Amino acid sequence: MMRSRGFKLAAALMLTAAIFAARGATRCIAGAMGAPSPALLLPLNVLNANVWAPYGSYVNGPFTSVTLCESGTANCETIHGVLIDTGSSGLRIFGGLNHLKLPAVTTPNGTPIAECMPFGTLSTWGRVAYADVKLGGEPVISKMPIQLINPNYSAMPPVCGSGPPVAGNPVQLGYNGILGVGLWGADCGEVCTSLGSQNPSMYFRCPRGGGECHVTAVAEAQQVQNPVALLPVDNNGVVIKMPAIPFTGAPTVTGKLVLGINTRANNSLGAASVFKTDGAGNIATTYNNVAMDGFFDSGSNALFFDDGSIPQCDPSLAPGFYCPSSLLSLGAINTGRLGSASGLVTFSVANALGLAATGNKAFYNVGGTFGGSFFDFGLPFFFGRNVYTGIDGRTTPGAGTGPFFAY
Amino acid sequence: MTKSTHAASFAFIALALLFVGGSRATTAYAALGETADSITADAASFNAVTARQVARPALNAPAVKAYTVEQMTIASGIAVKEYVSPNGRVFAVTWRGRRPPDMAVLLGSYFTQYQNAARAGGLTAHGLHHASVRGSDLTVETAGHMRDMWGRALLPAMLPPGVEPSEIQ
Repeated sequence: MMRSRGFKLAAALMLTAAIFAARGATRCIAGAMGAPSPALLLPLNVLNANVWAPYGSYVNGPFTSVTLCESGTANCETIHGVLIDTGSSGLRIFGGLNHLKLPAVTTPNGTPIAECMPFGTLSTWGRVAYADVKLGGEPVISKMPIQLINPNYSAMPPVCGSGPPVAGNPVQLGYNGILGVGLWGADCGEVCTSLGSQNPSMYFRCPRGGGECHVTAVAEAQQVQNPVALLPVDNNGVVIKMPAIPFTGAPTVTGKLVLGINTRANNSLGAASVFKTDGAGNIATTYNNVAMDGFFDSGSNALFFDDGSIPQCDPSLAPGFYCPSSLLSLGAINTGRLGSASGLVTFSVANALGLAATGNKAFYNVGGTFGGSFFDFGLPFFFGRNVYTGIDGRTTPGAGTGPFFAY
Repeated sequence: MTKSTHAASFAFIALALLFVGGSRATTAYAALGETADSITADAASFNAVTARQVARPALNAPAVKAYTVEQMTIASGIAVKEYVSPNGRVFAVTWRGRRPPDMAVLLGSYFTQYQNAARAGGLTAHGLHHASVRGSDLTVETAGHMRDMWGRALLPAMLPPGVEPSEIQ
């Protein structure tokens, strides 16, 4: 969405500035322009989760900064403008922004491993490398597998180019990386640990001397990791805390990503309802008397669900977004799998083009279509709430074992 | 592709949904926009392990068979459905699974149009997990979250009369 000429011009100017910054930076990487001022001192388990557009283009994205280091050294770089994503797991940074020497994660016989990870919008291709990772004031996570996104790495296998477009560079995406703090500890999980029929062809071994990359089995510990799961204490999930915002949106929003759930006073579950997910990461959502799969995704920038009665925007301006003539107040019933909590949530949908015309970057009332039997509670749902994402297999006092969402 | 000659009925659909074919089914497989009968590639080339057919009536005229749905489970456990109009052309495909299927195969000659439109529309419009791509004669949606992905490609001009896009899931 957001396609006005003025907007495009502004975005282009921002791009130029951001690229320039990236080239000039050695220890403080791209995307800092226009960032809301960080809080002076944050508790050790808190990161900023600020809604702004690092390259001028991305609407309704919460962004933070992550520090990478060469293992065991003080050679570090901080990457800004990293998208906080509860819809995926694993840390991915554009390789071109990295100036550190990060060793390859390899097969047992030493062949470097690369990954093609499909997302709804795009696929990320690039090698998997070990980095020391620092989140906020938490202890350094030593030698953690991350993905360095690079479409030109080795010989990209054909399967990677046969899906959604392969991510090219930060400008194209509007951010510098993805901090996947979703339901899983390892991104692919058990199905990638063998070459069985369920292997989804995401991990590849790419010979150092060049040549074809081939699907390879990768143990879960060597897969790209959700860093939160590797923390010594706050390792059972995260809370995203977003303030409420005005009806017409806000240019920036200062939110928080709090690590851990019920591990400290600042991440207590409180009165939140816990919705356990199934093995695919979905809860049950009923909308318009239709049962569907629901999920909570800070990496989706709207509430995506199907309602044929809501007018869609002009597809040449905002394909797949809703443009009702007046504000709609709607509701859905969420129910956890495994018989956990159930309850009504209300939300509103305003005219997406009208919202875009404000030039703001954060909206709680933008909606769009989702042709499948899904209800995607994207970032609009997070405003004015604390939304909890509990990691698979981890126990949270008062909530039980993940995976779960809570709010 | 073998077409069901059964009269469409909801009872038939229920039975069809219960049926799961044996391994290495030889059901023919077709790409978007192509004539189902003319396709020589079969499900084995896609490593399909099951296949089944469901005939669907038009919602507003239940006596009329509006289209046939070919369902198969391909490599990595991805569920693929191909919607075939009475004139034998594939007018829509959907999928759901851990990852998208080989869209170059499923979309056939429309794949390049899809990729070009997806890039032209920008990769940020809907966030990381959702895309709604409109080509000149093609609509493609790709969405979902890690470990559960969904997609739909359809040719609006080829939808059989009385069929709504919302039926294509």
